[in-house]
Amino acid sequence: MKDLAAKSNLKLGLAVSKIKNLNLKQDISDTNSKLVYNEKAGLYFDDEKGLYIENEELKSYTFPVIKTTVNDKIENICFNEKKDGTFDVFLIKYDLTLMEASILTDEEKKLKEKKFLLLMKNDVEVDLPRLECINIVLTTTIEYDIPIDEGDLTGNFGYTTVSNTTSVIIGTSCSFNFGTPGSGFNQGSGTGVGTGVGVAGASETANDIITGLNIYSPGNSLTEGDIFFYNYTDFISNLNPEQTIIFHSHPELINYLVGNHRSSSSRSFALWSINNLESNSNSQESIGFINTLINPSFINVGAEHHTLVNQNIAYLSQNNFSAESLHHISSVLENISNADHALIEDSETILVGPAAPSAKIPNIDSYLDCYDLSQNATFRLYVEQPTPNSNAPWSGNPINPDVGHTFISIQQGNITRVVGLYPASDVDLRNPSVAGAFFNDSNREFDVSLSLMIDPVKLSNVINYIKGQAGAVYNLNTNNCTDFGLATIRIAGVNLPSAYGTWGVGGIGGAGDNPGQLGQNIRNMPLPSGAIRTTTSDNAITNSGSCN
Amino acid sequence: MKKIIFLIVFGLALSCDSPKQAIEGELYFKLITLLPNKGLTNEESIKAERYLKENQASDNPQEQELLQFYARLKKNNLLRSPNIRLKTIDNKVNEVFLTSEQYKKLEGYSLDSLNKRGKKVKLRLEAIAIDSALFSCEKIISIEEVVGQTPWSK
Repeated sequence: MKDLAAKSNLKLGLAVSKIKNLNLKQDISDTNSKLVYNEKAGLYFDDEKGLYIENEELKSYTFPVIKTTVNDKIENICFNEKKDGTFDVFLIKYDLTLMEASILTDEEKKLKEKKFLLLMKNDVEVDLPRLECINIVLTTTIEYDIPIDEGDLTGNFGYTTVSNTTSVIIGTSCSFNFGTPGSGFNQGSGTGVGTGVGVAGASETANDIITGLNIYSPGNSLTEGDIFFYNYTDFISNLNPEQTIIFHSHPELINYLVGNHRSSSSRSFALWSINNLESNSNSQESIGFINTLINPSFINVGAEHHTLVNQNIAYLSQNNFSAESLHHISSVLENISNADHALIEDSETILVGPAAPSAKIPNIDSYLDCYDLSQNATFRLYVEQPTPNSNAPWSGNPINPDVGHTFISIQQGNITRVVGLYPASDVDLRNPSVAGAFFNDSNREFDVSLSLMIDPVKLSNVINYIKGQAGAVYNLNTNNCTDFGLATIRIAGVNLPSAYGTWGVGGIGGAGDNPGQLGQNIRNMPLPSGAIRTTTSDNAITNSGSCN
Repeated sequence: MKKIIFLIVFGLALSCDSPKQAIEGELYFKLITLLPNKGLTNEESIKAERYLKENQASDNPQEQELLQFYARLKKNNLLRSPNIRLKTIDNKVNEVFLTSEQYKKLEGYSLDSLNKRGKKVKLRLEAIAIDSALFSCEKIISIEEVVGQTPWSK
């Protein structure tokens, strides 16, 4: 045990003083007192008896927390000096009494738990989730002073020196814990190996805090862990009080952040999740959904998975987090987690199954690059009418009118792609033209459909036509979803008549082909040879199979 | 008699009372709308008002719905006002009419850009209710871009 003489170290002395003044009890406010008391943490320590450790750029001062009986649990207070001269101060609590430390073997001590409580960060008092760790310890013997009174510890009654066994930390396995000290719950665990050492009960070394933070993998540097923990304040500062409560009650989000090294995108997703939970009043469906998305086997695949997450969020949201949609996403995630990394990076993976209906297709060429153009395929035209079995061009409230939709699918063996034309941004009766965009309409509802087998020539022509429409202008009156559907089925060999209609009133309106009229046309037309007509509302086929 | 007049005036005052209220929700994108987001032009507005005068009703249910909608807007002098949609926590889509200055603060948001960034826009407004789904914005209290899926429909 070394004498640190904190008062001779100006910066350390200031940090000790700040700890001393955190909620300092009035009756021990004597700044000349040898003992320092912190009410928040409920501890006394001797700021002149501790240990100094220097490890590369890190400096650490550890002081034993004064204990009056051998049955008290061991605690240390550790001052980690930063590059800028400020201190982060931790209280480390061990599930190990002085008595146990003296009689347990090293192996037995490994099973004991350690909890970290951050008292100050950059010299400022903080209130953060703490790390909870299981430690691997060695033992040694130390001496330290305890007050002789065992009663109201004011530090005014003298001290006596005792010898005891201390435990030196050589490794940790940590997890985050919330709530008041001693009443939190385990948040799961990470793995890690510490090369630094620390001391339980009294001091021999001090960098166990940093070791404890090295929770990701043995290969991670101390700095990574350091940054991860300290930056937690930034994340929490983005949350309102209600969101903070939600965050603290969802350990899976913490583990998710840990697993992703608290990357920018993982922080964004965690924030989204908290918003989602808040918006859905913490519903079981919402919780299940979040848990599914952050399946542990799925979290470490890199930034690209966030695209998948967003797509799947869209899918689940549009299905109101139904049991079926959650089940589907679970199976998609399972497939992805079992796939190799190359497959995960393949953006087309998200198109397998009904994930993300009506999601924008980033590249129509690759979306359709799936078919054997020397083989037949099944072409389907789907029409979702604003009002089933009516030629009304729109229905519902004028504020949020249902205008229906026309879309198509091409199926060949186990390969299926569903696609529809949309305006890339909003259009209205006065401004009917914007850039067009293709969307994945997999599993979208429809009211009428017409399907037929097409030969390789027609298949090639249909695909070439669709690809050629990439970048085309969408026009509500002249090149809308129904015009696209009509054009493709005509190329496929069925010459459907115009589905022209008008909408609007008082000279403020438009006219053109529309799903309402097209649906009625298909319902009432003579069925072309070899074609199959469906007039019962249902969901369209889902995308399947991988592209080239 | 004075009491009766007082009661009538008081009653009218109460019936006209449309108190401001705070509403909040997410900016909702509707890809195909019947009313231009920036409101009708003067010419369109005049045309619409003339049509409303001449056509009180229509046999076509969609036309009738639109007529009533335009009539409500005309009554509240909103035909030419820019408008947005707001999806509230109960999944209801409201239309909110804004001043041009208020609209300028929101017109920069696009569905495509928000989706690419995985963001949505949360709005808090002080507004007067025209009916259960129509509001006239008095003041934008806050505009917050947060992580999430922007709600939209075709």
